[in-house]
Amino acid sequence: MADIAFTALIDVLQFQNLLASLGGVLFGLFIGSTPGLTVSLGMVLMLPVTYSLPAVTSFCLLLGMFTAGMTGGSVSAILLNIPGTPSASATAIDGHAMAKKGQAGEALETAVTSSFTGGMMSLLALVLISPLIAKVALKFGAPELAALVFLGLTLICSFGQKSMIKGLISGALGLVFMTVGLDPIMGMPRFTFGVVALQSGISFLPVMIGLFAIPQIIEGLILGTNIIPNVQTKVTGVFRSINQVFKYMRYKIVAAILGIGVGAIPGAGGPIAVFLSYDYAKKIAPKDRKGKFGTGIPEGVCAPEAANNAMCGGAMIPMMTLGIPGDPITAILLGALMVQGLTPGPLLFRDNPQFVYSVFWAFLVAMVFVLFVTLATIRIWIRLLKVPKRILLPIITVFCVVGTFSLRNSFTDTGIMIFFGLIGFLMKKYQFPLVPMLLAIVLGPTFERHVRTALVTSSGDPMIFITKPIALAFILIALISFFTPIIRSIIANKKRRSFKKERV
Amino acid sequence: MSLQKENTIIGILLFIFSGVYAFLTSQLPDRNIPNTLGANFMPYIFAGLLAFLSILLILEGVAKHNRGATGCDGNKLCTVDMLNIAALFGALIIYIFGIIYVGYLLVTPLFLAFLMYYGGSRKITEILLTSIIVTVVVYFLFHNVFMVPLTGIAF
Repeated sequence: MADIAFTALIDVLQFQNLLASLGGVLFGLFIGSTPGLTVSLGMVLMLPVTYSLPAVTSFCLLLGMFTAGMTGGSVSAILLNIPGTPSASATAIDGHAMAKKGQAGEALETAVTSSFTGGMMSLLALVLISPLIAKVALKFGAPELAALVFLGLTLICSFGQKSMIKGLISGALGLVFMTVGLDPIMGMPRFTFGVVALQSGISFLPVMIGLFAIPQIIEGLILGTNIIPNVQTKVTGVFRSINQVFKYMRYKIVAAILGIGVGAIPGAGGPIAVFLSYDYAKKIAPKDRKGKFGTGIPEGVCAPEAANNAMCGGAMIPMMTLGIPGDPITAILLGALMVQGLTPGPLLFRDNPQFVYSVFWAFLVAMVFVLFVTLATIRIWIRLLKVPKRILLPIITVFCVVGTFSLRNSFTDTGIMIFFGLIGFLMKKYQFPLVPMLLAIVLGPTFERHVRTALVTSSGDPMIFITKPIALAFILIALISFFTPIIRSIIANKKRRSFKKERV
Repeated sequence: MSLQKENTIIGILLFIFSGVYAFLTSQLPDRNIPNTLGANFMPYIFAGLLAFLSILLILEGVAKHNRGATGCDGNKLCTVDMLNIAALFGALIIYIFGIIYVGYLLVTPLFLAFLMYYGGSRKITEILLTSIIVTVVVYFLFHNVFMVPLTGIAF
């Protein structure tokens, strides 16, 4: 086995494969950091290019784009508070706050090194325990998935820091908006008002761009708020910042486990892992750091970023071991495998072990490239902020409009983006948090689909969620995470009042 | 207006919205398939949830107002700002219709120039150069590299 692994390594280290990986990384970073452009879009565009390439080269290109795209999303999230991917919206909370404090360099370094650590852990899981994880992941039916997504939805509480009620309202509004479109089980149109384009529902990408980018543009361009972070930031340099790979390890380990676990469950949806990891990072943080989440601390950046990239390896587990794609990106990878005449699944490990090892090495090489390229270009990214906002913000606006249109080549999406831009601005003005709404719109459709599928299979008996042990465990954890902050805030309020009375 | 008063008004508006949403949900056709939840199952739950939360927001607003709490008034918008925001949204809508009916290549430089002027740019060369270069680069990127069917010139 060792000689096969070694031959695979030599194969991946061929010049054309390294070049393909680097090209994929650069393209992925650009795609990930541009609002409106998705990693899956980039990979679909590159798929025809891979037809004429050898299997290993094409995987070097695609995996480079995959891992870099996930990291790239955090660049615009940190610098401009405009997440490039939905998962990066959790990174934006503390990352942008750090950038505003003049720590953009540190935030980016933390994000990149955490992505690397998370990715490495997921690679280890992919190599060492993928068959085991795949077996457990396959036990997830509709009730378990519904319970898992329910757990994700209860995180809304964690993001309503100033007012719990406002956080919950933001989430409830998100759930209301996500019901627009065809009903996921019966295919009946809901709240489309005869507009055919609305039948496919509200995609979360225009919502994300609208909620985050438009309020920033309004604030920067019209209200004159200083939304561009302080560019006088400290950048440690590539080799010194590599030390950060081993910093905040407990947050990264927890986040990576969540990322691998959720990523391995087909159809669970990546953002759950990211938001879960942010919430768990808060829970495991020392008392003096707990209250600082959201104000711009590295722990708040490293947890979601580690989970984000751990998900890459996690999502590849069912794809490689069972031939089941968990999300659109792994479906594209699966397609690329089939184009090369390879059949994914257990037989791949038996018939083409060298190729399997090549994929593992290609993943490792891609992560190393992402680490070095992103760290080396941090100064350039930050220098972009030196462009005056009277020039930068109009350019971002055009990117938002054209990027949103490019998602489905539809101006309805652009209209949705503008609508949510207005909603986002009003929500910000009246101090409603934006993240719960995005979380609800991302997770809502999956939640409804799985809840209703589970109830169809049980002939309408809701006990199906309690009789399944995994589902029950998730529901219990969800209830605990939902009620703990509420009870805590009630106790804190009571204490504050009694303290005030005593003082009087 | 204090934040508490604003919260009460927002709570009332959201409560009305949840009522309208529940009414629209009740208008959804029901297929009556046995043991299957209809398309209105989740919307009813969400309408109830939103109504309940808006009542909580109203109560919170009223309670805090009665306690004489003073809210943060720092983020008030003046009429000029409101008009400017409306103008920005208007410009965005006109820009989108412009792309459809006139073409991206003709409308984008004008839109960019408008935003840059709005943002405080007064140098004509800066406005001209930026708007033309950005338009061409974005068009090349999306149209030629990403194969997005952007209409360059619509006629």
